[in-house]
Amino acid sequence: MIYLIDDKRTRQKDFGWTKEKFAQYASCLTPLYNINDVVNIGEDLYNDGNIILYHESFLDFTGDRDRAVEQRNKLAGKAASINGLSVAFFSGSQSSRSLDKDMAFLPVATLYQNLEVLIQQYNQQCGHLKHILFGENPEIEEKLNELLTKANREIERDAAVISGSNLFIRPNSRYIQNAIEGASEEIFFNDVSDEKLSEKINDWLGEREYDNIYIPLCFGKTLSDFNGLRLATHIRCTPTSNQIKRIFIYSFVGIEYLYQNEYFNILKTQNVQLVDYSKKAFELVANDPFITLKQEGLEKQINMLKLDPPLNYVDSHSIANEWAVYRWAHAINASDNSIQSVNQNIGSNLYFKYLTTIYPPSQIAQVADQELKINCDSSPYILYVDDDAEKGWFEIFSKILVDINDFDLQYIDSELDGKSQNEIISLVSDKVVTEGIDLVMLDYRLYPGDFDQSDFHEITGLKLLNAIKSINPGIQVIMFSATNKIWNLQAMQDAGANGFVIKEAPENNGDSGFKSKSVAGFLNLFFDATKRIFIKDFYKSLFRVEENLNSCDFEDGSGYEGFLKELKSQLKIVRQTGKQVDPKVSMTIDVAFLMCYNFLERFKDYYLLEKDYRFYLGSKELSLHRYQYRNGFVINEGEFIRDGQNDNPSWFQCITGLLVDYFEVIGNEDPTIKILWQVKNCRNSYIHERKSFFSKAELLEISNLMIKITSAMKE
Amino acid sequence: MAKTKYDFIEEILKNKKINQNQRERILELASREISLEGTLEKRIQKIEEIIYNHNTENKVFQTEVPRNFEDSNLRQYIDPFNLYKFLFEYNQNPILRTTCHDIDSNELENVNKICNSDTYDYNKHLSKIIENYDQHEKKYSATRQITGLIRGYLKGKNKWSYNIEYNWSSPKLKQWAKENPSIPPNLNENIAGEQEIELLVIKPQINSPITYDSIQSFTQLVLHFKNLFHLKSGKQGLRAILDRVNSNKKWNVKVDFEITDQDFPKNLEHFTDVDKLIEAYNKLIQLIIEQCQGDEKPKVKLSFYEIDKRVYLSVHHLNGQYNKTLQNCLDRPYGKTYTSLIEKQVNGMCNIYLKADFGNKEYACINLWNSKKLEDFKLDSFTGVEHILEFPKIKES
Repeated sequence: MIYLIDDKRTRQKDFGWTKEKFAQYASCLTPLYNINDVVNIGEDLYNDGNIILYHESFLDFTGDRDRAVEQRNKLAGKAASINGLSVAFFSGSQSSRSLDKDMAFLPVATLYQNLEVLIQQYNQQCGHLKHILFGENPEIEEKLNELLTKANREIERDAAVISGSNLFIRPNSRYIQNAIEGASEEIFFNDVSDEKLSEKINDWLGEREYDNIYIPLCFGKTLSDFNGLRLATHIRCTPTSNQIKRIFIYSFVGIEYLYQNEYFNILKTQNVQLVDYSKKAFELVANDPFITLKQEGLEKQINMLKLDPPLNYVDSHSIANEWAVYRWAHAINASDNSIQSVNQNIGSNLYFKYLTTIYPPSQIAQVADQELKINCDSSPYILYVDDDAEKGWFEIFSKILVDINDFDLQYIDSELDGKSQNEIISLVSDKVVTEGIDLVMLDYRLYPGDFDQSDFHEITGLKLLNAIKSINPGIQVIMFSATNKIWNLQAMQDAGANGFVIKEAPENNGDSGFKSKSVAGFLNLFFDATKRIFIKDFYKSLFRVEENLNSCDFEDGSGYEGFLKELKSQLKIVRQTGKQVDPKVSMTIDVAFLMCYNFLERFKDYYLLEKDYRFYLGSKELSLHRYQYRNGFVINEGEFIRDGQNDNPSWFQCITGLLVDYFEVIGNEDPTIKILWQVKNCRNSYIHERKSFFSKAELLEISNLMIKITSAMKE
Repeated sequence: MAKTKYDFIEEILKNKKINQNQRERILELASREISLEGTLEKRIQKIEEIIYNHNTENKVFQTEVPRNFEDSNLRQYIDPFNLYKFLFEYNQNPILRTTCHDIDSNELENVNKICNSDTYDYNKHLSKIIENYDQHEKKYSATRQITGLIRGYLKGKNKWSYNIEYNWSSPKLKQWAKENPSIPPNLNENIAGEQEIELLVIKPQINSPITYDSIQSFTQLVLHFKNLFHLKSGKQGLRAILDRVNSNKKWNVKVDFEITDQDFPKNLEHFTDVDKLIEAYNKLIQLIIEQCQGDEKPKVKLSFYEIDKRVYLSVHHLNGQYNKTLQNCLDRPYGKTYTSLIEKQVNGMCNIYLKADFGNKEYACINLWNSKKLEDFKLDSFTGVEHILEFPKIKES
């Protein structure tokens, strides 16, 4: 356990240690504010492995001062005698950090600055006090502190004299005074985030042009971050009037300290130079001959940086997401607050600035509004499911699908927050059913656990895809994701995904036409999907057929039971063929239609009986009538009596007889009979090659006949 | 308040128009008036002491025990406990301590409470500081060098340590305070960094001879002030300070030092005049080097410890022998070096003892400078020459 013994609650907030933050680390950090709390812990306070952080002036100016001093003395004694007990004393008048075996002394600010690092190291069994003194990289940080002190102590008194216009940037403390005669001077304080650096660069370098820009290698709270390299990269990637000016990074350490830094490559680029921490050196480098960097040469220089995506993002997908929003929004000219926020981040985050310097927005092909029109004859109900929907995508899709194409678009975004995977699946599935959704745009990773999931079968998007397809395989599902892993895509395709929209990863930027292709690809996917929406209705019919068959299910070992089983098997085949239906491949509809026809033919085969040259229907042996369809009228010519050996009842007569007379589900003037007639005709035309394919409508019609015929079955 | 005779003497002595002859006559008259005996120098010193600490009747110390060294020009003994007490209590005073610590939210609440103000008010704060300091000077006592330095630090008018022109009352700080209302000038640097506040710049920077840090802001200056009087740990610990001194003065080239964690802990705290302590240390090392005979490099063991509320710094020349006999030393203990050492550094800061092998199998410890009459304490045996500086944290009974 780490015990923090400090009665000064208010100042803890100064250093960012709020109640909530303490609560976050409650399992390993116990703050103690009064002497009784300390005493009550007893000897457990000194347990092996414990770390005690003690305010030197704990309870000064209170009635408990003497007890606190006694406790402090006891602690010092314990620290000296107990191996494994670490004690750090911190104080507002302490200006330096020191460590002697298991006892440390440090300033208050340093303690609170590094406390989080200490906790993390402690949780990894590396809770050495050096981390409370110097943070994450204590050895190098300590060395840098020493070197900086020495460098500042030894700095020349007189200012450097450098011709031209110079900007000298420095940290707020421990800096070079009186650096360059007549130079403009600007200061960085503690905040060295990308946002702050961008803001300052725009302020300081936006208008006035400088010949030379001097920046410190180390500034911000952690010297070993070598923020100067990042700042130089920022300057190069920020379009200002000083973007291509000479940059000198003044440093009290040699280049060997910097090889591991992610922005090291900036030192390989033109007119960025590491300079000694000395005013004389400032003068010398300014007078070195150099070749001016041209704007047109900048892209090549920045390409040399080879930056990796920042680690502070949840994963590379978040980066791809923002980058894609930015590029899509730019391509289709979409904008709202969410997109502006993304654009703002693109303008300040160094990685994005690096990308925009290499792939300037001017290279993104523009897609005009009229090109966004999807020519389809239906108006599908669309559901967009993405935890990032409100980060710009909803606006982009709204523009394409609602503003331009007048579709009905709903989305699920923040409702997913904090839900378990099962809850997410259930929430979306319910919405699909209740809202009668035709088309779902589905993000692959919807649940935080998905980002650590190595088994792609467990990814929420894939599970949800399966769930939607089990509701109705005809619901169109377009997967929308930053994943470009082939096995992920393969799994989604196997599960019935009807298409993929890949959020544009930065690595795809090399293809200058990628953006317009992405948008066009998206529109094509939608066009195709709307053409397939009828499949959902086809399946609806098949589900009703299945319900009908299930309702008359019974087991008696009779032929009727066998017939029902046969129908169910045939229905399975029909459903399977439905999955293959693709309007662009007419044969797929043909197969589905013919399988449905086969289903109906089974009825003729089972119910039609011949006895003594007469035909009967079913076990009731109801006489078969000779039905005809002529000129739009159904004609019952009476009992079917054979005219000759070749006079057999047709499929039409038999099915009509079943519907009208045997099952009594329609009257003899019901329009169903007309449909039956048409189905029979178009099937015959197809078989006799007078017709080359079946239409979507014909498939739906025959599926409706299947519902009718199974709706009141009897033996 | 009615003027006392001491005020009167002070005024006359400060009058630039008086000549040397007149000055001597005044001193003679003054000495008669306050019935002092001894050499002229001693009397002048006494008058100085009285003038600069003229409300002695209220003070807690004033235990100078007259030491009768007819052959010496040394001043009257000043009890070093006074310095400790003066500095310790300064650090304990809730308002004065704000002049030697940086300020965070908690400290700010305290200051505002004392100043009876909702937000920080520099002028109120300064006024409280001066008021508290004046009372502090009346209650406790320190040498005029110390009080002069602290007055300079708080009230301005004179430059203080290392001729620093920045102080709590300096026009530059007042101007800064105007431009940064509600912000304490010694705000914690980290908090200032978070809030993007530029603290008053100390320009040109001062390179601290104690911590070797460059002092570039008022907050750093405040912490520097503390370092002048408070030995702490780390860079502010005596061990680290002497390490730097040894390196800077190149003592470690001329001397083999033996410094162990056991004998010289890095974190022993004490309130004293750190600059003077360094000066005294340098004189002792210089003495060792000068007295070292032959080619053998002096071996010096340094120890720093506390026993019975007394802190000791021992500089033990392990391979040395005292260059006078014991009797010679007792007869004429204060040569030029000791006189200067005691006069300029030791008196009022600490006591000093000499423990040595005096040759001829004579080993003894001599109380070179403390409240007692000089005498020797024979030892059965002793190796080398050891100077021990004693810093009492309690009053001699």
